[in-house]
Amino acid sequence: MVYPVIRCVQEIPCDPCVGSCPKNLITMKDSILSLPEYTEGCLGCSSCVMLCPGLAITLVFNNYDPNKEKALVMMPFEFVNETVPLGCEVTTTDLEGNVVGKGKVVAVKTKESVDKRRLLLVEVPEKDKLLVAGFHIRDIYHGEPLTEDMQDEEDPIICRCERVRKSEIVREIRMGVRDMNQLKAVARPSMGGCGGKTCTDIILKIFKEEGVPMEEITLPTNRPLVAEIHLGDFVKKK
Amino acid sequence: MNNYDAIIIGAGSVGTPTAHFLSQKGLKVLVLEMRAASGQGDNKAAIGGVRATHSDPGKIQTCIESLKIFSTWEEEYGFDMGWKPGGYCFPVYEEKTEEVLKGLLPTQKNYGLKIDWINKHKVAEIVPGINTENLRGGTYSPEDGQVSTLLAPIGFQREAQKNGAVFQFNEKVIKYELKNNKLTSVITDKKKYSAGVVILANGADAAEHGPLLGMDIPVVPDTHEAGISAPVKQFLAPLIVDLRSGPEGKTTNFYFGQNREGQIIFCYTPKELFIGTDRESQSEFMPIIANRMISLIPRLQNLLIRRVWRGCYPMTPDGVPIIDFAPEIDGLFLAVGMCGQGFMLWPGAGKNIASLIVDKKPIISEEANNFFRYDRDFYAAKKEALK
Repeated sequence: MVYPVIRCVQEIPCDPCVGSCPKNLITMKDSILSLPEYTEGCLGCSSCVMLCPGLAITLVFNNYDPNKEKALVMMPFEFVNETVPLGCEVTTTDLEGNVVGKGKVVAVKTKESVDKRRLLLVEVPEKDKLLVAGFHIRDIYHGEPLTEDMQDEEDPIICRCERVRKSEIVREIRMGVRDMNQLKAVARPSMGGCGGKTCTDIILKIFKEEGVPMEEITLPTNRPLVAEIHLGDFVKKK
Repeated sequence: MNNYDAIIIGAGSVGTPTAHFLSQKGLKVLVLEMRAASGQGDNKAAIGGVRATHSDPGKIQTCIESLKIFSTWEEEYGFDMGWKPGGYCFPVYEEKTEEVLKGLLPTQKNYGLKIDWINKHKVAEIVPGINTENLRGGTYSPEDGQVSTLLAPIGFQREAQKNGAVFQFNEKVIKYELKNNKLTSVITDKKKYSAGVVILANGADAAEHGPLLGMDIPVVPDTHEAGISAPVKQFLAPLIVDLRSGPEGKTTNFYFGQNREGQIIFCYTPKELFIGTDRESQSEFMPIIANRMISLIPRLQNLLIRRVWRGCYPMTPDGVPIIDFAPEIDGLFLAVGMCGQGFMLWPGAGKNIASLIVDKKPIISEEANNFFRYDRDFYAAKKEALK
């Protein structure tokens, strides 16, 4: 037995699911703004999973495991093909993104008329089949805890991109640095992606605190704001 | 008090180590720099590779000296110049390149360079992710490395200052005074100075001083473009040089490495040179270098590109620097025409000229030193195999 789990909570004018079902099993009571409802008799054709713009429908295959220990859940997937975790064990999540358990991606389904969406068949424990609404394409990495105090009031961070502290800038000013381009070279403030959009003014204040007259300071090269893009984006795609 | 033993014109990759080595020998040194600080000219456009992997004996021996200085600087003076060991690797895909590089090995080894041919598996091991299709192997010189071009001039300057060297910034040389072919004084837009010896080390601007001195300084700058990525986890130890011409018809070779910050820093040699000092970036640079880098190491497509820039190569007619006393003018030493290699040559060359000026003898062999003479034939058919 197969059936869709429809997690639609959007009372908006949207009804592709209604038209997608060849047996007209998905209906809306009052208007196009209503939430869809399902009546028994699903063929398991997966059209609704393929079409729902909100990726709100999964399909549960109950007859997957004769021992009834496992079930198969079909989920839509809209990342690039290279990231399809076929054969991998993935962490499954519920509608809110909370971790449910583990699943194994056993098959991928595509449809010629559909451009990017893939349907992934994920084997999950029987008890999880109604909860599972998604999965992590890779395990969440929380990073290493910082070893130093980032909120040090005594010695605050001036350049956040490169994590340069005030003391490092003061040290260079006291060494005689007056050209802010050289300050960038030696202590790295403004060397990050933003190009000194915030720290330049703060550094000028530090020069002032150190008693350096403005006319002794050479301002840094002023560059427009840029967004970093991938090297691959410069190459013509085949 | 405007009298010095030596005046160095230019505080870049040439002037700052020269100031260090001369002041270390007890000379009273003045450095005149028209920019606001040291290291603010074309040296900071260099990507920072330091290799003794050359074909010219003068360059091999000088860069071996440079490498000794860079690799031990922090230990010796406590200032971090961003030294990253890891060598240079020239991966080879074409038979003719293999022949050329293998042919150079005996000379290179003879002059003291540690280098060998390695097979394709070894190349793939030290250059993770390299395209191995048609890869034949390559050369690997493990004692080459890289240094931050941003930090090195500051390190040399500060050490020179400890030895009493004086640095004057925002001061431009406008005139030289000569008496009976002897250079007697240097006049800037602020002051007049005199010195026993004046060392011209002003990179791309060297030729402009020719008319002021009344001599020909055969240096013509052309420009090369470079770029840098956001940092990624360290994965690439050596600098890579791919000697193939690009299929796009614009590049004769390209090279890149991962610096100590984890950033990938890259550059190519254009087929048609851009003569002059225009440092504006060009729109064709990134698409061309991106194609070349990704075809060599596909995973590089994921790098985020942060910045591009252009810098000058002060070129001599034969591609070899001029490091010599000027023959016509007494008291003038030429340290010009670094041909894009000033950064890697100069610690060694600076030590060498301090010895030439003070002890009247080079620290590298006379034979190697002769490659840098001013009175050579710049237009002889001699061609360097490895620029």
